[in-house]
Amino acid sequence: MIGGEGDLLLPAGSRLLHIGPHKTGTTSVQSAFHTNRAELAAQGVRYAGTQRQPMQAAHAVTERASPYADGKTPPIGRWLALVREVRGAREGRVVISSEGFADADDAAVRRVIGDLGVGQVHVAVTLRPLVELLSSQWQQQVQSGMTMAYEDWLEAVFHDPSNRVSQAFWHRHRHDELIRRWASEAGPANLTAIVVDGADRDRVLRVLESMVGLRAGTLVPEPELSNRSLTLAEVETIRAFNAAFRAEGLGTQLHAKVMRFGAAELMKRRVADRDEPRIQTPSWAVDRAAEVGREIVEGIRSSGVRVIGDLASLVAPSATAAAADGARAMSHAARRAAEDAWPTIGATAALGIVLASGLARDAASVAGVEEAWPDGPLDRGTPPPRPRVEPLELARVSTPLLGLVLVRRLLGAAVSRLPLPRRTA
Amino acid sequence: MTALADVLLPEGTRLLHIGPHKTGTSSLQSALHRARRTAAGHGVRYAGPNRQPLRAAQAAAAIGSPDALARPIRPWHKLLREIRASRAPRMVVSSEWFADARDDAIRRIVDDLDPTRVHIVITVRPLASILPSQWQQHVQAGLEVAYETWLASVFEGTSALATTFWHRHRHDLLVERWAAAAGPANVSVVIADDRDHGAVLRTFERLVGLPAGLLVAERDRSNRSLTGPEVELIRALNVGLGECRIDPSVRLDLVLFGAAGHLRGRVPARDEARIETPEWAVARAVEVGREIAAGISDSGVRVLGDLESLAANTSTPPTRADAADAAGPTTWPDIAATTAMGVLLATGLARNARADLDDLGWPDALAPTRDRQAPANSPALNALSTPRIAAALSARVRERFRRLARGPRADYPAATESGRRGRTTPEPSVHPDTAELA
Repeated sequence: MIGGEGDLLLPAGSRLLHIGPHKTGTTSVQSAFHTNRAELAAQGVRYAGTQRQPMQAAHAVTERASPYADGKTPPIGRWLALVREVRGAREGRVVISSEGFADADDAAVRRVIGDLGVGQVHVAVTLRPLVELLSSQWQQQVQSGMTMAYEDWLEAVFHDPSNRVSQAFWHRHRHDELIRRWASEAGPANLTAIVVDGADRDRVLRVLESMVGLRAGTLVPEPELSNRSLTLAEVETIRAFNAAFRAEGLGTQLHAKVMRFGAAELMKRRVADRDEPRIQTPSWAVDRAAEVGREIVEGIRSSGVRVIGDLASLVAPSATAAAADGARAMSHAARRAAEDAWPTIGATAALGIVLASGLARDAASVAGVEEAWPDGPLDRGTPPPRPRVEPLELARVSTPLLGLVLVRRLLGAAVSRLPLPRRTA
Repeated sequence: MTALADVLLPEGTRLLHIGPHKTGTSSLQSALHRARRTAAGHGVRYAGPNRQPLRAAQAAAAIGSPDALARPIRPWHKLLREIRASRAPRMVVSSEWFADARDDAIRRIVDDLDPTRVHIVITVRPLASILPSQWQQHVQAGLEVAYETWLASVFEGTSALATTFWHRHRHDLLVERWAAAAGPANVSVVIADDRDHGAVLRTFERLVGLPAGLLVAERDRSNRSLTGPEVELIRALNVGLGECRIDPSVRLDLVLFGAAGHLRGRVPARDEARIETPEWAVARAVEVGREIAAGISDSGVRVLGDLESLAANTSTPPTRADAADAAGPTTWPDIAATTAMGVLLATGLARNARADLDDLGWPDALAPTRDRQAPANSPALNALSTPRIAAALSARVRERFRRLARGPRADYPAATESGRRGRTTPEPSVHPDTAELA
C-alpha cells in the first residue's frame, strides 16, 4: 500500500509526536493507542500520558487557556511531567499525540522539539480536506461556547484576518504553514504528513503502526467511541444555550463541564435519524476552501517533508460540496425528521447538564460523559448543594453576594428611618 | 348577572373559595394578596400571610384520608385561629386544594368555619379548557404520558390520575358534595370566562363588597401554561430522567421550578402552537360539560355567569395545517436553550460560576461582562421581599453546616417507582404558583 514497512519505520529511540491538527481523526487515533497500551508495551512502544491524550500538558507548553484549568493556562509542571515520562521511557519508541500542539507558536514549537530531543522527535501531521474541516471546526467551537452563526463564522474565517476565530482557524488549518513551522525546528526529514482517507479511516492506524514498528492490526479502534458530528438542530440548540449562558455572565469552566462534556457529549450518544438536516457549507465557502486548499497542497509539496497518501485528494470536489446548494430547500422528510427530533434534542441537552452536575446518576450515560474528557475527568468535587426550592433569580446569586444584598437592604431600611434634614427647594 | 345587592354576602360571612385547580385561582389569589391593605380598609380580610394558605388547605382536605399522616393539621388550626380572631366584617379564604377534600373533611371544614357564617364559592371553567391545562401541569410535575394517552385514561376513568381529575373537575358532583355539607343556599358557582379574565375578579369584588377594579390581576407571565412545543420538551426530559437514579424531590426542583419555571418566563410568539385536544376528546368534554351544567342547574345553588358556556367547545383550533410544523427552526433552539438554562440554574451550579475577568477562554475571545455584582442588582431579585431573601440565605447556611457535619451525600437513590417510564408521578405538594412558600 504505502511501500514496505522498512520505508516508514523510525529509528529506535524515536519519539513520534502527532500534533493533529484538530478534526483530522485525532480522537480515534488516540483512543486506539490508549486502549491498546498493554499490547503496545509488549511490542516495545510506549504511549505517553495516562489518558487518551495529554491535553493539559499541550495547553501548558503552548500557553493556551484551557477549560480544564479554569479557563487559564495550566501549570507548566503538566508539560514537564510528560517530558520526564518520555525521557525516562525504557521502550524503544514513544508516541505522544495531542492536537493541542497544533496551536503552538514558533517559540512553543522550539521548546517542544527541544524538550523532547532534537533529532529524536519525528512529527506526524494528519490532513483532511479543508472543506470538511470548516463545519467540524465551527461546531467544535460552538461546543466550546461560541455564539457565531455558521455563515458569519465563515465570513470571518475567509474575509476578516484580524478576527480571533479566523486567526485560530488558519493557525491550525493553513496546513502548509503548520508543517513549515514544525519542519523548520525538527527538520523536514523528521516530519511525515499523512493524508487521511475518508473512505478508509483505519489506514492512518496502519501507517502509524509501520512508523513505530507495531504489527499491522495492533491498533484497534474503539467501537463504542462515537465522535459523530452534531446535526444542525443540535448545534443550533447549543448556540442558543451559549447566548443565554454568556448573557448570565457565567464562566468557561462551568460551560465546559455542563456543555462540552455534559450536554454535547450526551447528544452525540443520541442516535440521530438519517434524515435529520446536517450543517451545509454554502457554495461560496466551498469554492474559497478549494482555492486555499490548492495553495496548501502546493506548499506541502515544496516543503520537502515526507507525504503519505494522495495530496490531490485534499482538493478533490467532495460529495459535501456538491450536495450543499441542492439541499438548501429542505426536503419534506428532513423537515419531518427535524421536527420529530427537537423535543428529544432539547431534553438531551437538559439531561446532560443534570448528569454533569452529579445530581442524577445513569450508569451508561455517566460512563460516556466521563469518557469524553480526553485528559481524564475533572475532579468533580462534591456534588453541588442539593437545590432548594428557590426562585431562579436567587439561583444566580452566590451566598456571599446574597448576604451582601441582605445587609444592604437592612442598612437601607435603617437609614430611611433616620430623620432626614428637610431639603430647601 | 344578578344585581349587586343580590350578590353581596351578609356581614360576618366567611367566603371559602375552593377552586378547583386550573380555574384561574392563582390570578385571583395574587390579586387578593396584593390588595390586602386596601381590601382591609373596605372591611375584607384575606386569610393567611401568603398568596394562598397552601399547607393549611392541604391539611384540611386530607382530614380523614390516608394522606392525613403526611399532612400535619397544625397549619389549618393556625389559619382557623386567625379567622376566628379577626374582626373584619368579611373574610376570604382561597385555595384550590380544598377541592380535594372528601365528605368527612368537607363536613369538618364547614363546621370549623361555622356553618352559619361560611359561604362556599366554586369557580368553574369549560372542561375543554381544563383538559390541556391540567395535563401540562402534570407534565411540569413529572408526568411522562402523552396527551392523547392521558386523555384516554381520563375518559375511561382507569388511572389514579383520572380519579383525581374527576374528583376536581366533575364540577356538578363537587358542587353537590359541598352543598350537602353547607346547604345549597350557602354555595355560589362562579363561571370563569376564558375571554374575560377580569370577570371573576369583578364577581368576587361584588360578593364581598369591594369597589369595582380594586382587585387587579398581576401581570405575571410566569403563571402561564406551557405551549405545545414547550410541554413536549419537558415530557421528553421526564422520560430521560425516568431512566436515571435521582432523588424525587431533586427531580421535581429541577424540572418544575428549573426547566418549566424558566420556560414560563419566556415570551412565546403569538403563533406558537398550543396544546391541541383531539376532536374525539373535545366531543366527550362537551358531552360531560352538558351533564355538569345540568347537574349544577339542578343543585339549587346560586350561579353567577353563563352556565351554558360549560358545554362550549373552547379548545384551541389547530394553528397550522401541518401539525409537524409546531414551532419552526427558530423557536425550537430558544425553547431548548431556555429549558437547559433553567435546569442549570436550578442545579445551583450557577451560583458560584461567574466568569473571571481574565477568563479569555471563549473561542471568539470576547471578554466576559464586567459587572460581577449584576445578579445582585437584577430587578427580579429586587422584587423579592427582604424576609424571603433572609430565609433563602439562612437555608443555604444551614445546608452548608449540615453538609460539613454529615459529609457530602455519597449515594443516589435508586430510580423511584414514580420515576419509571410510563408511570405517572403524583401532583407535587408544592404548586409552582406558590413556590415562594416552600
